[in-house]
Amino acid sequence: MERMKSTWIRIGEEASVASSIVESGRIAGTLGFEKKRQLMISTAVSELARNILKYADRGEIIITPIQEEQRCGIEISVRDRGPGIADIEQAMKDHVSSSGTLGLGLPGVKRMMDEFEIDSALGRGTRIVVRKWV
Amino acid sequence: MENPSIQRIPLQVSHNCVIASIQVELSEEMFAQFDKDLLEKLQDSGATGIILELSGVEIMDLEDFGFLRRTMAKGKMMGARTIIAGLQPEVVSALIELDAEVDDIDAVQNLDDAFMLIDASVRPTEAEWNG
Repeated sequence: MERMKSTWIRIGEEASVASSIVESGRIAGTLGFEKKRQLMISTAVSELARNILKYADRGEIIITPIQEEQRCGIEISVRDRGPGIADIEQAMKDHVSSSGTLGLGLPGVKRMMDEFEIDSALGRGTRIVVRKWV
Repeated sequence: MENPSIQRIPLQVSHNCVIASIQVELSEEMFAQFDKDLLEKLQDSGATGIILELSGVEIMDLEDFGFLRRTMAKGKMMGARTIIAGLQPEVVSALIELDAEVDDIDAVQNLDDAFMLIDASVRPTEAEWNG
């Protein structure tokens, strides 16, 4: 898989979530994702960025156009040095929340994207990589 | 980043309903202001319904949806039922994929349908009139 130039967005306040939504949508658009799929990608990014704000205070989002054989796509890598997720399997189930009424939204993000990888442990932060192909 | 001038969502009253037309992406500050304005409008007008017209919203994550739900819960405590109108198909797909709780949400495709639904629920029936 070939990676093109990445866009880095530091997540640290509400406005940075908005930038990550706008940037991911814009980049997805230039890669040829149709509008509906652009919005799906942006919603997934919004969900991931909000998780950083809510659970880790700060982190970063890296958006990278990717290419593999005849197809191109978008890779979004999200990482933080927050508390980490104790039980990933549990966090990937629907209707699970560790802070009140809202869940992490991770199962939804996984459904909206084509590929989903997560690496997290208590005290080590969280890294999530998602990809979607045009 | 501090935003000194929070954009406000215009509210109008019609058919005994407060109608809020949300045509922008909402931020946390805007939701807070919106809640405050909406509840005051409900009190001033005595309206028994709220119509949230959301056709201009393209991206809604679980947190946004949570804010909306809390606004609706507050409206309910003021005696007003909320109907959501005009959700974009993309927003609907995303909310369902995100496993948002939508079972108790009343939604219609446009304002006309919202008024029909509200009128049907707030107008007393003939039997009620005759008591």
